[in-house]
Amino acid sequence: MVTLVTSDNEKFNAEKEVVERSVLIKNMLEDVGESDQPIPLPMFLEYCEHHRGEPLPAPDADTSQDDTRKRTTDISEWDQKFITVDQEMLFEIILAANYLDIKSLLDVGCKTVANMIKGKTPEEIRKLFNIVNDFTPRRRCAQIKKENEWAEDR
Amino acid sequence: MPLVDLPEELLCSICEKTEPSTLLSLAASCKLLNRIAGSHYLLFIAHDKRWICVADKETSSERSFDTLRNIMSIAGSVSSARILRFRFSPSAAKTLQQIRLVTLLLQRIHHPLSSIQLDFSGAERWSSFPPSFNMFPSFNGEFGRLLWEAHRLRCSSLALYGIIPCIQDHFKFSPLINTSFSNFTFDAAFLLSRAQRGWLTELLNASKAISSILACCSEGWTHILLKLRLPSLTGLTFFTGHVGTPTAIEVLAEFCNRHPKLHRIDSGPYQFRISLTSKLGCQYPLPQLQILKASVSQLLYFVSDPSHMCNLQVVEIRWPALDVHLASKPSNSSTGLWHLFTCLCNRSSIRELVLPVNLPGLEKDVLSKAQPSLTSTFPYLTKLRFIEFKSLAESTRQDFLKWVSKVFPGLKTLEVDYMAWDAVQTSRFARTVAKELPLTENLRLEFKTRKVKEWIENNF
Repeated sequence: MVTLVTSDNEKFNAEKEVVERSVLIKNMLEDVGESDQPIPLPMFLEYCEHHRGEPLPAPDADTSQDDTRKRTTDISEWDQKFITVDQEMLFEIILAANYLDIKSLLDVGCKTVANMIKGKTPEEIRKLFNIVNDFTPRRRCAQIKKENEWAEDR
Repeated sequence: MPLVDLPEELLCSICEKTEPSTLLSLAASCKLLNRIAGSHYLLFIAHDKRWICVADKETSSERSFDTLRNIMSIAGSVSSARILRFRFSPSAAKTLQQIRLVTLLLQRIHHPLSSIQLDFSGAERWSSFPPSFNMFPSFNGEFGRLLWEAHRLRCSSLALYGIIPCIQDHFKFSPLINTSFSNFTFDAAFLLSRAQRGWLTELLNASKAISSILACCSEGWTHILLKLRLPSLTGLTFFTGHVGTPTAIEVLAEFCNRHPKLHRIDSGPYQFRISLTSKLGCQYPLPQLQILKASVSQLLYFVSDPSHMCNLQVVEIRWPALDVHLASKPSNSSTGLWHLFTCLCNRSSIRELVLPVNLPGLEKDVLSKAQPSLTSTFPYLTKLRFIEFKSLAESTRQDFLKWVSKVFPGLKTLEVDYMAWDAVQTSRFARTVAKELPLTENLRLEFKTRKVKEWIENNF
């Protein structure tokens, strides 16, 4: 068993096999060796518990871009449910998965964002994520003017 | 936490999972995502930053104009473009839109271009998609605007293919001084027609840095050459094309005489004719010419006076596709060729000869050993390139090499191309060369030069 401590000092006990889904923790455990020292971390146990026993992806097992794109919607039902959270939490999960180096969870998070924006217009994307349109209006005006210039003197 | 506050590596991870069309929407939402999603889109379509090649329809080697529009929506995507090639639609209306897009692209570029190639050859199929009458002035205006933009970008090479949409006579693109375009390529006789050649002649004459012209043959050159004054011109090449009446060779000679920097000429297969008076030979000495590709009778016109073309270094004999010698059919005899050999052989300036082995009568004379050429040897010639060597039987090839050893005793490099030999055949040929031409050091095969010994051993 390993003791995990969140940043607000809450303690969790979990099996080594479960928490080793995080490459970060796996490396930490290897560095520390057999020790009673607690390891700090935010929430991720539920995910790791569910995926216990599944083989970890090899560090460089990146599939081709084409292949990853094809699998955009390919999220298992459990993962789908797990990741059905508000935007704030979704980005927190992505950040944590990245920090803890849990590739499969990071993939699920990124795929979820990709699915959210699929087929959307730039304006819809801005609205969805509260993005400020920071293209300089002057440039856009000049661009539009230039694009329509041809029509003016014809 | 907003999406755009995620670290860039995570935004990249999201982009990796995003479809290309959605990447474009992301790229259009804000500057940060324009850079990140945009670069993923460019990566996805394997965007070549230096060479932008666009056609009416997307192919493995060419982008469509729609893709070009997408590429242009990404900041910095064209900031390294150097060579641009556009093949326009067979539909007149679409071509007009495409020209506008190209102009827009050029307006977004702020660095010098190497080359712009505008291919309107699709327009030859315009009978199916004819332009409406009120489109003509737009064509002229838009095409002119495009050329001005390319000119602004100091584009050094301008190539125009096919029938340009400026169908009306009033097209004008005449910068007072053109210091941008210096290499011109024209492949359609249309441009050289009476209606179009006015602006073209003006443009060429305004081109202060002009270096070369590569153009199709056309009877239009008879008029254009007389009007051109291009002090900086160094090279003039004519290639295939339809010619009504070929230009008299004297026009070319007079043109060369007025252009002291012009040192390289390819007279083209159909462009110039030799007339009865041409038999007297060229009246100008033309000492500036160093490289000349022409038919046997044209070469004889230029070099029959031993004091003329005293700096000629490379002679390429053209197969007489339409060698209008004395207004008769091409001769089947090799008399002219041997006469040419006599005129050239003692010129110490000549270093290289390009010889098609299928010149009329050549093979017969070499094989029969009744070679008048044996009286003329080229002691100064160091490089010989055979054209159509493949057309000779293998046994004949050896006879040719025997003949070469006698006529070109100083040969250092022999070249033959397009043989499609495997390593064994290459090695066998190299052995024959070593045997027949022991003093020849280099063999150039399929455009690669190596020592004969290396070819024999295939040791590379």
